[in-house]
Amino acid sequence: MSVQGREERLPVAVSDEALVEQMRTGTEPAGEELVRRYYRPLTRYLHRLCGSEQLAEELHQQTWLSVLEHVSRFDASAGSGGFKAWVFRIATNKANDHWRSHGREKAAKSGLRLLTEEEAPEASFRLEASEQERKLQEAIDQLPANQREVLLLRYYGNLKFVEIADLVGCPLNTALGRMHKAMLKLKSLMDTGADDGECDVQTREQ
Amino acid sequence: MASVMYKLGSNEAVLLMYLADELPAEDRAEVEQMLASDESLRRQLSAVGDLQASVTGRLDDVEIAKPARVDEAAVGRALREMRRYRLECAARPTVEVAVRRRWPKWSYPIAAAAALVFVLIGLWGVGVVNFGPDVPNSSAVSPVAPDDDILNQLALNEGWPFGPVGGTGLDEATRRADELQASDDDDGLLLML
Repeated sequence: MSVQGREERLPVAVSDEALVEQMRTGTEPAGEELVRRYYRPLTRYLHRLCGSEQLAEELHQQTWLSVLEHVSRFDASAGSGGFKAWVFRIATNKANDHWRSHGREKAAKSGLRLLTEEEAPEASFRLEASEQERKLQEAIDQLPANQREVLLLRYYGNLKFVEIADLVGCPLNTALGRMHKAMLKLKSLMDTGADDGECDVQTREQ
Repeated sequence: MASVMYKLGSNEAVLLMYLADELPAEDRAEVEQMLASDESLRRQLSAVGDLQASVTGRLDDVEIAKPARVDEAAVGRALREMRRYRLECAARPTVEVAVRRRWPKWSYPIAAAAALVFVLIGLWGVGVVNFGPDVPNSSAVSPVAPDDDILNQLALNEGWPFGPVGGTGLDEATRRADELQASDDDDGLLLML
């Protein structure tokens, strides 16, 4: 269950940890290679986590600046998952920090968005090309935060369950429970959304 | 080490680990044995597998539809930020951290004791505390109180002939001095001294 495995990947000639070592010494191409290697999984993870592409890019930049700042402290042997788990942990923390500081603003904006959609239903009608994505994002947004985190780390980060449990700071059993609940809820929400979508189409046709 | 499996609280958790191929070899073999003999467990495995495939399929439908190429502009922006950060760090003047001189730990109790001694000396100097022997007030016994210095000298005198009879030496001296003063026997008082 991973987005990475289904995409064309750069040839991994040099391990992440070796690139990190080079990055420590200030070798710029090593940092560039790492940014490229993790660009897609990280930005897509952040996009689904925060629901906005612009914000995902901003958090992506912040993540790499944080990597650069703390790269001297990275210890590959300390935790499970190596550099990948570490960089996803930083990205998750950046997203959480953002929500903590902008939580009120987000609530206000989401209220405004719902109001706008009610007043102008044809606005969402124009987005038929990305209808499926919108439904997916809405379903993901409705998941409890801890379930969403585990599901997205699994899918986009392709992390092992043990690594996810370590990253989010919960027992393995809890992480697996959250994963199972997240999948059940997401399926249920997507099925409900699909039914609603079909009803909408029928109503419009009539 | 068939331990991981028994730490997991539910069949779904075990089956998720099994499907992800993240169980240790011994646990995996044990799960396979159970699956071979337990029909309901096989149904649960099928349900968890279907659920996982369904969710993954939904996510894939959206993600695979997106262009797989790396957004060079976005990567460029991230790299520019990193380069700027590096330059800022390099340009930042190295601030010499002032070394705080700390006194050794053993010096604190000594300093506290010295301070206490100074305070007590000060208090003794202004007469708030008295470090001399405790002299009882005999004014209630005699209308004319004997001089404290005389009594102290009597009490400290090793050759005091009366000794501490019926109380301390000082008490006895006080009583005798009172008696001599009351009888106006100056000679006796001088003799005592």
